[in-house]
Amino acid sequence: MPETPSVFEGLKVLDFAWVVVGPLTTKHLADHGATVIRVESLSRLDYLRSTAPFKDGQFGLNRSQFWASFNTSKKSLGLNLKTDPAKELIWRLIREWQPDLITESFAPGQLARFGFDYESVRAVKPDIIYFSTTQLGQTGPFTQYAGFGNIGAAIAGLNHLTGWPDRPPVGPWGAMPDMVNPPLAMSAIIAALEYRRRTGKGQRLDLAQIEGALQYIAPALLDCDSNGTVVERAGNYDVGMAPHGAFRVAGEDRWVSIAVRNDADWAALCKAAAGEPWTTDARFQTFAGRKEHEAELESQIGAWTAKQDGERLMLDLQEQGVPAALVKSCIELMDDPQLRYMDFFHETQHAECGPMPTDGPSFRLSLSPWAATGAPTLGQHNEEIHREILHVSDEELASLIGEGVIESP
Amino acid sequence: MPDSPDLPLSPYRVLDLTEGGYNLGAKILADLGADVIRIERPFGSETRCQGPFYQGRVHPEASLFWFAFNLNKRGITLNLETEDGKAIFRRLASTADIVIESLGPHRMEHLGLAYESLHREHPSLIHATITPFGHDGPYAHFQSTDLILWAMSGLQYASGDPDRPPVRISVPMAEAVTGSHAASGAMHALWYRVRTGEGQQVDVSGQIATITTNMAVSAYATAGTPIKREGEFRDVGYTRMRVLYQCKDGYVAAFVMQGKWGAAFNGRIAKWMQDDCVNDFADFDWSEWTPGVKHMKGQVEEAKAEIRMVEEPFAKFFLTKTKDEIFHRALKDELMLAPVLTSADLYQWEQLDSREFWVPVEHPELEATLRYPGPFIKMSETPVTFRRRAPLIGEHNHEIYVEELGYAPEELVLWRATGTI
Repeated sequence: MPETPSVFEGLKVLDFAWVVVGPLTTKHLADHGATVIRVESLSRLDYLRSTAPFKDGQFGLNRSQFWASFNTSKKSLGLNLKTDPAKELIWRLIREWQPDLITESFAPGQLARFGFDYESVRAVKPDIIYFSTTQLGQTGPFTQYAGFGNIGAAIAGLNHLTGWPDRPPVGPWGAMPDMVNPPLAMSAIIAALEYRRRTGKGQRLDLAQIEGALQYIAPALLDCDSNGTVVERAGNYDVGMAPHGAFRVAGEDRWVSIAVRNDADWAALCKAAAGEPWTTDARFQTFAGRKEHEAELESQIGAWTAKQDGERLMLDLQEQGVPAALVKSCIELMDDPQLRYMDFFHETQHAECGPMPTDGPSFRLSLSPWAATGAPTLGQHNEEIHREILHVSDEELASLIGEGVIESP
Repeated sequence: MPDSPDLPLSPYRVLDLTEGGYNLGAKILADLGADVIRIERPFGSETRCQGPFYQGRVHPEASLFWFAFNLNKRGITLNLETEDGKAIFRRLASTADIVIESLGPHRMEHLGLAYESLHREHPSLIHATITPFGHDGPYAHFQSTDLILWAMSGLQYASGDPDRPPVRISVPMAEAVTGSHAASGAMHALWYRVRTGEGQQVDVSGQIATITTNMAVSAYATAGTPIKREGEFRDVGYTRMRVLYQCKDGYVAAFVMQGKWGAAFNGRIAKWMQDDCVNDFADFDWSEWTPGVKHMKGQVEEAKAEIRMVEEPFAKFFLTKTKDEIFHRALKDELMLAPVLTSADLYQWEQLDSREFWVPVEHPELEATLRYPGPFIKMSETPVTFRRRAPLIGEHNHEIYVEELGYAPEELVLWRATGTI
């Protein structure tokens, strides 16, 4: 195949963002060809750099697999932003390198205290696109609220919606609001680039991660506004399907999820389970009947699945056209044949740790493929950026390092 | 629409052939200004059967699910199974910039509408295609629902109480997340096209998009960390911590850190306790509190005891505080604590109010105005606006077929009779 350019070839990003949403967004830009300079500081270390799992289980600021998987393809510039020479270096980057996009995810006003607020940057680079993201956004009475997506899930209503009705709201695993915002951020950033291309105008983007997360549960929100219905957590119950749940299969903590959408799915399930008494029980032959006796039906199905191999059951049910899936752990995903087929898990080469894992892209482009290179060590590109972009002399560079302006661990 | 503001995607037309939660994809493009035409089968999309329904009216024009994910789009009906329907689609595609569809693996090819042929006629056309697992591969033919995508993403396995089956989030969300990635992918292709003139295919798998909501999956998986469901706790291999506490009037989520970070955040919770004469942590040195490090060194029991030493006083203390008290103290002192809010709480929340997040949209047919969750992002030059409610079945047939494409009104009558529209 002939070489095609990457999507963001030539795009320049000055990235002050940390932790998850900002870094994941700029990772996607970088994996698709943008030059992303990630500004880091030892005195304000990215929390994720000290977050497990670490390569070979050994702690180290350059060893977090978590950080590495969220920061592929970037360049790291270690700067102590509290010093004036460091601030001047940033201004030089803005003036001389002319970034298209600045990204940041500090508490509102924090970057302004260093002098890099939108208005000041715009005075120097009038068409800058300036992307900020925090839990609650840049305005409002609670704008200074600080929090990670793990607890943001509680604010976004997702905790309340996950778990069992008779038990506390345990919430989904991980930091769901963090993970669902990057695609929204990407769409908006590219839209802003396109608008700037046509009009010459830059702009400021304010992504409140809670507001982003709420897009995905909009129907449940409208249910409250229109009907006064506060949707409650309900295990695996689904108002429009029955049976619908995770059923125990053979082995330790093994489950198969089954979703029967309609009578055709039900007939297919009964065919797969031919001979089981519940398949011919008159009460279960209509949706209304299955719903009315759902608990009993699911307990009988559970007794049938409990003896079976989960993988085999999934394949048998799918063969009949029943939506069914083995409930896979993240470790099992590594062996998932479909994910292998789609080439989802990747390794990158990291300067200090060698091979480091990263997820593949969430979409594939036929002409301009994605390519991730290893995440940088802290300050890995200090010299390159100063020599090649800022044209700083060797003496000046040595003195900046000596004074602690330029940092690496 | 000459009176419309110039939005980022105003010059672009999108044909939306997705169903279910995948509908969010083209809605995002519509929010950014694209002219999105939602193409439905002649008697209306199956997505209209999906609840919840306005005032409980089970009716294709009252689905709140449909409303939410088809806002800002226009709507036409078209039967792609008929020859006329295919010809009309080709005509429409020649006026479009992006086609986004979830018809199923290779379905467009089977309909004779393969991307290759559309692309030949219209080289800058972008085709975003959503399938549950991919067009090919061992699971490509699998049937899928929201629950199936959660199961195949690692997320269901890790969510729920340990003594009960693993759970999904109780409302469908996986397809909407996939739609969002499709929008982002289509935008990538659009930016490529702007620079090169070339359209391309964007291939989105629901399984992979859902996996991306499963935090740092490859990092945990290769480390061999068994992320399991732990109810009100989270276990990331070296620390099992409580992340949910009961408070006076509900629940509060907590993120309790260790070492240097913990010293700052937990120290401020301890200070609050002390203000209330709760002195469990009066002489506590938080920077020395590193149960995770002890665990990694093999001192597992010591690590557990250290965690209990913190969790138990926290649990007792939070029981004396309301969600509101906890939130305001968290705001003031930067505590990693968050109230567990419901949809009703969110509609009344000052923060969203002050940002004018809830946007009223009129539904004249229902004689009602619904308050929608507002823009997914605030853009200073090109704010997201809600220009029109979701379309009724075939609402824009005349406008698009006759006024814009120039078909004769008589043709529409014929198409209706033959089941084409």
